[in-house]
Amino acid sequence: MARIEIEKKVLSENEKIAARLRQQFSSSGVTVLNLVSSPGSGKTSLLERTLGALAEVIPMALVAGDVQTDNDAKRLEAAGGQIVRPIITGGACHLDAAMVEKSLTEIDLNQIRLLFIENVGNLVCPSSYDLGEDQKVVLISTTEGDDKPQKYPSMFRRSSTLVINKIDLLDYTDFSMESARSNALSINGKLSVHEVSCRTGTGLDGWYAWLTELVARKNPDPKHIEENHRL
Amino acid sequence: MHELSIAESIISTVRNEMKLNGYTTVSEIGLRIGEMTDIVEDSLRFGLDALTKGTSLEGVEVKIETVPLQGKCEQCQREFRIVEFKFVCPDCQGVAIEVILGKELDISYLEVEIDTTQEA
Ligand SMILES: Nc1nc2c(ncn2[C@@H]2O[C@H](COP(=O)(O)OP(=O)(O)OP(=O)(O)O)[C@@H](O)[C@H]2O)c(=O)[nH]1
Ligand SMILES: [Mg+2]
Ligand SMILES: [Zn+2]
Repeated sequence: MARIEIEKKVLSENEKIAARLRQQFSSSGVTVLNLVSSPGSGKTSLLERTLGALAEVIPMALVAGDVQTDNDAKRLEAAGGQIVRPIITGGACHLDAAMVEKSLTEIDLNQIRLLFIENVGNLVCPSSYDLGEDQKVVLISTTEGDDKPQKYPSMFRRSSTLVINKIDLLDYTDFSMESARSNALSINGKLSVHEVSCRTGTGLDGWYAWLTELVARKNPDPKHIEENHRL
Repeated sequence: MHELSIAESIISTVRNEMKLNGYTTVSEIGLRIGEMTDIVEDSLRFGLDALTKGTSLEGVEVKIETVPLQGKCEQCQREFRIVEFKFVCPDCQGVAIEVILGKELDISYLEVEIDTTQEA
C-alpha cells in the first residue's frame, strides 16, 4: 500500500468547462447572469417582466433549467423570448456547466448581448457549480422569511446581487425588509440589493437600469450588433 | 442533494486515476472539504456507498478533513476564523471580507496498491 497525494479538485471537470464558457462569453461580449432562488421566489416572473421591458433594446437569450418540465421555457417564449432553451435535468437539483454548454450549441453568441440562466429552484446545490456566468443573482421573496441568508449562507456569499421579490405582499407577512437586508449584508457586504414586485412592477425600473448598465459596461462597442441595440 | 453528484465526480476522478496510473486497488480516499461547500457528510458517504456497491471500490475507506472558514479583511488585512457565517472583521468591523479557506472540495490523497507488472 502506498499513499499518493493526488490533490485533485472534485469539480475540476465542471470548472474546466465553465472556464471555456466564460472565455466564449467574454470574447463575444455577452453578459451572463445565473439566477438562483428557492422554488417559486419568482425567477421566471422576473425574466418575463424583463423580456417585456427590454427584449426590444437588448438582444438576449434565456436558458431555463427545470427538474422535469419545460414549463418555464414555454412561459419565457410566450413573454417574447426569441431565443429560449430548456434544460431538463432529469432529477439533478442544479445545472452544471456541461448542460449549459450543450444548450448553447445552436446559439450565436455574437448576436446577443445578454444571457440569463434560470437555475433549478434550490438554494443549496447550484452554489457549487460555476456556469461561466459574470455573476449569480439570488432572489428571495417576502413570503419565505427574512432569514434565508442565514440558512443558505454559501449562496448569498457567492452571489453579487440580491433581488427581494413580492414586496406587494409585505403587509400580509412578517417579513422585515430591514432584517433581510442586514442578514444578507452580514454574509456578503458587497451585495447590491433590489426590492421589487413582479406582480405590480414596483422597483423594476431600477432593475432594468442596473441591467442595461451592466450589459453596456461588459461590451461598450458591440461590433456584430445592429445600431439600435447599441444602448 | 448535490452530494450524489459530488459523489459521482469523486468516483469518476478516482477511477480515472486508477486507470492512468495502474493502481489495482484503492483502499482509502482522502477528501478535504471546506465549511462553505454545504456538503452534508452523511449524505456524501451514503452516495459514495451506493455508487461503489458491487464494484472494485466497494467498502473503500473515506477520510474527510473539514476545513474551517477563514477570512481576510480587505481593509486592515486581519485574518480570522469566520464563525456562524458572520463576515465582519473583529478588528475594524469591515464587511469586505475575502474568503481564504473554506471553499475546498478536493481529493487530497489515495491509498493504493500499484500494479508493478505495468511499470518500467
Ligand atoms: N404576489 C406576487 N406573486 C408573485 C410575484 N412574483 C412571482 N409571483 C408568483 O409566484 C409564483 C412563482 O413564481 P415563478 O416566477 O414561477 O417562480 P420561480 O422562481 O421561477 O419558480 P421555480 O422555477 O419553480 O423555482 C407564481 O405564481 C407567480 O405568479 C410578486 O412579485 N408578487
Ligand atoms: Mg421558474
Ligand atoms: Zn479589518
